[in-house]
Amino acid sequence: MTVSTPAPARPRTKPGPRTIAIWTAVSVVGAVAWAVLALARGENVSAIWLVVAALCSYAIAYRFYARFITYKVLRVDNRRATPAERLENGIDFHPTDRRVLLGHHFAAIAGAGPLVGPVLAAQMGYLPGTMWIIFGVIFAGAVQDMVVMFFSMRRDGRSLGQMAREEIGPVGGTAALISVFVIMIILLGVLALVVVNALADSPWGTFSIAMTIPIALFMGFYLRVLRPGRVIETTVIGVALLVLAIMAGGWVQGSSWAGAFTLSPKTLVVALAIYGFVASVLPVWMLLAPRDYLSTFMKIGTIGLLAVGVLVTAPVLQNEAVTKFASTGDGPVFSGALFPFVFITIACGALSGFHALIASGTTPKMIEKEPQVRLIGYGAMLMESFVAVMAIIAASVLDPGLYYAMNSPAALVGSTVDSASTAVANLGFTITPDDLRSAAAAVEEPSLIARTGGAPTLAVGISEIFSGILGGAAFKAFWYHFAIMFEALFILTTVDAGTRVGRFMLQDTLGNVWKPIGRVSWLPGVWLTSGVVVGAWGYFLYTGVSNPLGGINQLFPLFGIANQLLAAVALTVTTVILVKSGRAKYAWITAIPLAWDAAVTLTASYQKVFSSNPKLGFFAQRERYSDALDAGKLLAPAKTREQMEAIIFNSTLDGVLAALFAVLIIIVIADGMRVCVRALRSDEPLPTTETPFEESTLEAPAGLIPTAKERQLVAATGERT
Amino acid sequence: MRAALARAWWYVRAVMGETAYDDYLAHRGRRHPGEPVLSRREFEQRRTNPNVRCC
Repeated sequence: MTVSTPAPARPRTKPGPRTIAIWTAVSVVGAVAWAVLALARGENVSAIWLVVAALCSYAIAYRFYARFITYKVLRVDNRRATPAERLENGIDFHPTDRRVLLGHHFAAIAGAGPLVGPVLAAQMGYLPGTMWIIFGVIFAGAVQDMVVMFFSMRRDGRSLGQMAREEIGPVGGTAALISVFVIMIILLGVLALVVVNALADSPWGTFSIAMTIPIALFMGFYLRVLRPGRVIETTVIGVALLVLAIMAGGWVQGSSWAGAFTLSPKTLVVALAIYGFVASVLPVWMLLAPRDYLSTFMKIGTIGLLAVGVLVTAPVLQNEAVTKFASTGDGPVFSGALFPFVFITIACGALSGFHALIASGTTPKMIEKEPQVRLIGYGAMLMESFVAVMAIIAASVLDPGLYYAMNSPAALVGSTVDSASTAVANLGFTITPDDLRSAAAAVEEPSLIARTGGAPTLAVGISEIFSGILGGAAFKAFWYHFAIMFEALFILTTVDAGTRVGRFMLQDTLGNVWKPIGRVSWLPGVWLTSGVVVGAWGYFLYTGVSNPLGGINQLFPLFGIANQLLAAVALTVTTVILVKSGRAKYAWITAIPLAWDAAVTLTASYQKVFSSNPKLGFFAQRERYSDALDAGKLLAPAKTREQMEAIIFNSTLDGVLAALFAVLIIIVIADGMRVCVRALRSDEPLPTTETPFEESTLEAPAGLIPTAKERQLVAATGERT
Repeated sequence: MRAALARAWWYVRAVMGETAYDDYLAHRGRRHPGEPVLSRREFEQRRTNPNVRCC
């Protein structure tokens, strides 16, 4: 039982005058920054205000709200031994320094998601996206990550799926498992689509990314055979080769090899599917592990540089605070109004269900002391949110005309600078054909028109900011391809790792039906299940590049809904555990985010399924095209009968998926509520699966900076603080 | 200054996972003193990289 030991008192500290002064100052500065953002209209607002508003809000939330949840709601117990301490085996259970674990956990949760979503959401203006990123993370995303991490830690590091099955029941558990698998497939398809859109017809980008494969193979060999375990020197060599590959891309582009690396989107789809299959059946040390070292290094380096760049150059936001698309809902990047679609488009960075998979399982097995969940769970998510703020800044410093020319589907903007300039003018923004030509020339790309998916836009924004601190205009092309490399690199890592996770899940499930396929060492089984997973996401990727209506604007909402569906599962599990363990009066800390998440996701699914507007509703879209086909007509942008049929099939499939997601959410929440009601009615507490109390003998600080008392205690054990 | 550099170097090594073998040796020494340990090569080959990555 959870409350078998008396809840430890929250460490009482009487705030001194200095503390009060500091927190008053933080609040005032934050409030001023928010006021500037809220009141400025039609003026030039500096991006610094976004950074200041974000940092002050995070500081207050971490100090007060996260502390309240840690000690009052979760009742973390510093005397209780964590699984890392009790079950230490030197491998997966291992008490790890809190700062090191923060680094690991952050690297595991933050990828391309927090960079892509905010760029697309900039269509609504910078303000709605920024507000959701900051308030969403404080009240929903970081709370979810920390609470899931805590409950998993109290259950020896059980996964979200296991907790759903054990705490809710077989129905909720099965729905949770299906959700995890489906979101994985959609996620991989959409992320791979981002890469395809960034590399299509770009010999520079394609060459550099292709070179990462031999570089990673070399690193894997070096680390395995020549110098086992020497990660740092291997990574230094790898990064040097990577920079060389980016520079060499520029030479290749200007040479006779350019033709060989100019690939159409469909060729890239085939290449990615083959890569995904091969990479996922090779041993981890060959390709995945070294690629992971490279992408982690690039990630931390680029994000750090971006933060410095924004602070040093203090760019002015060109985007409007709130655009007209927020209310009309007919924006070209994605359809639908501000509610619910901003909250769907920005998942990672504000609230991401996917994190619950990492916050349960791997990280909780390595936490030294219980109070550290605040730093590692809540803190790492605040850091990811900050990455998302950087991304929305990078997209908002661009000229809106260029932003819409890049992010509208080809069906709208055509393929020439003249057609794009006219289309952007029709949207109500201006960019001349010459400006479009020179923007592409500055980054040495053949064209920037209809480069959807967010990565190219972010890369142009980053090159704008970076060239302001390093190298000037001459370096714009280098920084652009550096940014493309940085995104493609960790998307490919996700594709590889995600295909593996999907395969394990499939093997695990099918193994119940037919034993041999569950064996991880039986190669035909491995190939078959890997092939199924690659085939599934490869299919979505293919529809994404072949859909005449545009891939990103069709698939991204589906990805967002799937991710928020997983968040609904995680928030339901945590709410149920809070109620079952006699903490119903505090269950609102996850129940309110759950209600919000359910409202957003169900509204979005409802509109995607039932809206009579063919731009928004998948079935209305299907009807429009199938009616035309029956009448023997072709509707733009389709040019052939086959394209008409493709649109009809894709719309039906996407509509069915949106409906399936809604049904899964309702099942999980309803089953969770059933358990909550039973727990509230029962005279005796319902059984939970929490591991019994054992006394801890370790000493380690709770937060990032140790207090004087913690320093003394830890020093007595001879450990580092 | 030197102390700060040493701490930064320790952090980089720990985050990148280079200290895993040292931690393993320390763990064996504490819990299973006197028993044989894996060589660095064997240890690195057995070490599993969970590597779940998010979006």
